[in-house]
Amino acid sequence: MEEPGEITTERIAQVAVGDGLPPHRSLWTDAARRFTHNRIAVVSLILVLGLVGLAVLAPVVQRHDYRVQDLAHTSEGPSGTYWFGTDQLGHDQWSRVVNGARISLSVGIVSQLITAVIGVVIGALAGLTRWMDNLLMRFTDIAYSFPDLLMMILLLAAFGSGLILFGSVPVTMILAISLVWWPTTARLVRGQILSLQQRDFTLAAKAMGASQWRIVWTHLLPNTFGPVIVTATFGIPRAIFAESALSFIGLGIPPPNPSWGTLANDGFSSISAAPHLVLTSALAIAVTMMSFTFIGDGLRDAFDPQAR
Amino acid sequence: MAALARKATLVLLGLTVLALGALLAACEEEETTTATPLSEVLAERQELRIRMPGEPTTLDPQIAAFANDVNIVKLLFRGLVRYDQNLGIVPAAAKETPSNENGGISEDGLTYTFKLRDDLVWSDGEPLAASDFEYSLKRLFDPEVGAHGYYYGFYTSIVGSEAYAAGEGSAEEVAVTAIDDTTLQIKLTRVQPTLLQLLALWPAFPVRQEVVEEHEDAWTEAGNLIGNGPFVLKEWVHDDHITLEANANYWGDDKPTLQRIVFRMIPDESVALIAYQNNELDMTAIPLPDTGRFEGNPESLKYAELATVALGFNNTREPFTDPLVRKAFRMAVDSQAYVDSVRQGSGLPAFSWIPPGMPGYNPDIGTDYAFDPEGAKGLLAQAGYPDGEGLPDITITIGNTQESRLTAQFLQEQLRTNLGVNIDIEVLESATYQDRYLTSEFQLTLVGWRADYADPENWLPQLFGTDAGLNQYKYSNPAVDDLFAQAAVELDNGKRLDLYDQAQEIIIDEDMGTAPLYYPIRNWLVKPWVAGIITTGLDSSPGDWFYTNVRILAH
Amino acid sequence: MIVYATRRLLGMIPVLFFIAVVTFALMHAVPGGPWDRDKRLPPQALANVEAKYGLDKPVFAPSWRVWEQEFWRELPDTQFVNYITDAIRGDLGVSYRQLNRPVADILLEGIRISATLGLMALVLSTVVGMAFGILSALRQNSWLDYACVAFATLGASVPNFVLGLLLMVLFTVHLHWLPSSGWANPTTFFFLSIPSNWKQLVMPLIALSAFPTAYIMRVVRASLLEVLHQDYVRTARAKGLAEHVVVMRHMLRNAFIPVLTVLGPVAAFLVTGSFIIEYLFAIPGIGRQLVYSISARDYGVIMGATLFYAVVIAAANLIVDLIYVIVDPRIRY
Repeated sequence: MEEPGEITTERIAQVAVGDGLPPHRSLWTDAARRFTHNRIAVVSLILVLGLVGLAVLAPVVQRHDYRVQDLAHTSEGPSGTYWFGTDQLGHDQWSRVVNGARISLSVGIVSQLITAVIGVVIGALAGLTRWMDNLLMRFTDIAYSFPDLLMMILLLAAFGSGLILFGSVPVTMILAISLVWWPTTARLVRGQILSLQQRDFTLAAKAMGASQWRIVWTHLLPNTFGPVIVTATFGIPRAIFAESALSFIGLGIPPPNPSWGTLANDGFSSISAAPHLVLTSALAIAVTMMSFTFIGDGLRDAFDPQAR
Repeated sequence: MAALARKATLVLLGLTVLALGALLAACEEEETTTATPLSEVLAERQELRIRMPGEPTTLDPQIAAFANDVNIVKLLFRGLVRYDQNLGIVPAAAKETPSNENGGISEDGLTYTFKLRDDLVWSDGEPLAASDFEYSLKRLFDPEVGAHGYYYGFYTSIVGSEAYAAGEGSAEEVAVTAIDDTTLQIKLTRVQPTLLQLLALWPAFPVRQEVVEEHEDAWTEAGNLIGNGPFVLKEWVHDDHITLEANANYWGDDKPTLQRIVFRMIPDESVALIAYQNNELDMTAIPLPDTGRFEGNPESLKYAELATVALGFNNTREPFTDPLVRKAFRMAVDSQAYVDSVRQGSGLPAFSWIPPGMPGYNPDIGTDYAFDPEGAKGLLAQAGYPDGEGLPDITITIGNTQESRLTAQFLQEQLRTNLGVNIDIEVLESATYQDRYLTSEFQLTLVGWRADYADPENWLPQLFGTDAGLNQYKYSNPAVDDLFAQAAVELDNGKRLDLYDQAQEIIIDEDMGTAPLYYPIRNWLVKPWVAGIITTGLDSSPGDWFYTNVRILAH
Repeated sequence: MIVYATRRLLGMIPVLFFIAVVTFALMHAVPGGPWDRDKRLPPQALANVEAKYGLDKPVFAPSWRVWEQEFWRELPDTQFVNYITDAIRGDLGVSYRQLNRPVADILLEGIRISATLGLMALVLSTVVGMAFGILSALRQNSWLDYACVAFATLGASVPNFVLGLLLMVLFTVHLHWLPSSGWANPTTFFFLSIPSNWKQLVMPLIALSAFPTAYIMRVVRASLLEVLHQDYVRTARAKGLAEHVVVMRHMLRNAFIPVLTVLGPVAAFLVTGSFIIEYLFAIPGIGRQLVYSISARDYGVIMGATLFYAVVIAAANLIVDLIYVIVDPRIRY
């Protein structure tokens, strides 16, 4: 929302992925091999796994319950007891950052999963059927011209952002992001399917009498996964960004649940009094953002060796 | 690629360290201003620059409703009477304050006669007469203008006003009459002991008919607006700034020393603070998190506003139908800790609903329910919920402001640790919240009430009367309604305040209809060269009722 | 090409209409209205104010009885129909947040300011992004390359409100070089304000450009690296062409096409204003207006700003598509 519109990832993926690959069994193993040779991507992946680990283990690695307020130590800088300092209510910032990882990462990952699923299904249908294609193209024309922000704000205003499943999956926030972003993936998949249908291997399969569904299932869909994964990888940090921007506007995750967006936003208002708050949360966002960007680059290169 | 990774990381680290260093260095640069009192020499440039959080909705006195609107309107216009610094009523455009003694108020208290000063002029030098006040007060009930808002409701004791507002009567039937150029008469349907206070407020300020009719909706723009106050509207760049200049034709005795006041609209408080530190502003509010940093700073200006923040119950929703539960909730909250630790001293723990500084304040009310976790648990058990067992799910619904989020989180944790009760926080987007609040769709919420005028009438009947417009708590007690009815027509001020006191005692001590939490204190920073600020509890920005007294010292 | 452009423009009309319908429905469907304020209006006042602004009429469809009687004679008297008919006549209504100010004035003022800032940011991020992208691709794996990549990654990784605030702390609080915020003279026409307010412009410009600059740089770098190894570049080199000729004639032209693809959305994003930057730096632009209007349920401004967004995004995409034709001779419409 606060970055160039949704078209971005689609275009990056298209630029890099090119027209898709002829399918061969070792596509995935090849990609994996190329990916593991890309050290910066591997380092980033390790960082991300570390963050996910922190998020999963938050109840263990947190040093204090993130809800507990130590009123004798409010807005204090980092110390031995409070590694990342405390906020205005005497919350332990470290435990809020690791617990915030749960919500922020789930916003990023779950929203991209949903976006990918909707996008692949509708995009594939559009690539295969004429009427669906028309419908999708008209719809995306409208969706692209509609301010993301307006849509998200209205959706969140109407449904609130309070429903949080399993203590870490803010449903309405995720749905608001997915509903606004899926047309990008759908368009990408449609483009892939259309171009793949003209490829030799598809034509060959058709000539050999393979059924429509078999072609879709074994030849077309697997070939769209590469670009979709790349798009999703770039989408994850963007969703985390979007969450932080929404909480800046005042539509973030309700307290006391911490998310990086609400933490950065809360820290923002005490920038002079307690700069460690905004720095620690911005650091968490920045590390995640960078890692996913490098992983995205790595995946893109891995799926398309010609790009190098 | 590996090399790239390593080196890029190094560069990144370097940049991060640089940014951190700059930030920390900036933060260490504490205020080192030593209080060297400036000599009483006036500066060449008499300009005051103040931060304003946002755009006024309108500068039309009969429509103005928000703090930003009122802040400017009260500088551009002057009413018949006005508040003095102790919140007493003194004459402004009127020669004297009407009373029974001077014949300004009739025996039965139903007719008010104002003798106006004969030197009244508009800011363009044209004379201002009683008929202008007549026009303006009638305009307040015009269904196309004033009867759009909340505030005309304050004045409906005037004969014919309600019918006109409802579109059934006409302006002629509203009993506000200019007898001659300097005599204005107002007739009431029922006695209204607070009428003079109400006439000191902005809805009763005069506007000029030709100006309003000539420019229609655009009459409040700079260049069109003509007022009668100490300042004139020089420039209004929407959403950016408002510039006022001294009114050369001002007729009052309090001629301003300031030649210019600039209100800069800076939405973010932290940014405004930076602007202040960079000498772009002379006055700004201190953001709550920074309060502690400026404690004892010679530039800090603290004053109490007539306001109370409370925990609002929906008295018709379980479990808050039971006064014992409401009392237990109040007793489980350590207000003192909240104002000390979280608000860093910018507030006082509240027990009574009416805050100190208001007529009718009673320090003894509510003190029985001061913080006492054991007592709270006892009350909750007495209500049939020992250790919170059996309580339904409880949610506190709040609008999305930094302050409400803080307070709600504090309450949540206090109730959890002191009472063993878990409550959820529901944060809503602002307009959604307003909608839910106004329709009483909540169990618990946070309410803040700020005085419109300094009288218990503004604090009790309008909020706690059964079916009162602002009674979103759904509080209802016939005994209280009865006291309100008596007080409304009681002309003896002592007796009137006593009746309200009895009502407040029932509302808080017996029923705990709402649970006062704290009285906010306003914290501002004012440059040492700004002299003569006189604050009152009714200010929008500090000293704004008395900016005529402010002067800029040479620096 | 003119036929193509005209067809695209005409195609916008149904899209705009549909957007208008959706926005209108959504904004009336969400809870809360323009007159829900701290203090509940007396019922009489609410009736008066709704009557004055026509909010007492049905939103889309009149009741069946009215419909039956009047439909064939004239358009139904509903809020949506009235809005559309007024809008076609050029009357976008009045604001409720800035009471009775014409929406058109509010939009024009906001657009002028956001567009000034946005266009400058667009030029800045394109120039800087391309320059650094080219440098880092040509000097791949040099220190320069790493510095550029590091800058791009960092610029794109920090939320822009944090970046803006850091800039302010550095340049205003610490160095006292630049004023904290404001626009100095919002009434001046477009770029004519720059001589007097360049100091106010520096920080928002940097904060706003950081992401698109980094983004453009990455795209340029990636596509140049790709072109670098293409046969025609190798051939050109082998022919013994001077290096700058190879770079200019063969590489940049081809590397520019992917950049062009992203410039459309980037331009639309920049020109329509950023709420966060405008809020932070107290700039009265259109991005702030939209968000304020949503939370104030200021219907006229919500509608106006949304339709404006739609037009800008469509226009940006159209312009990019037309530039394609000029840059890439293979594409024809």
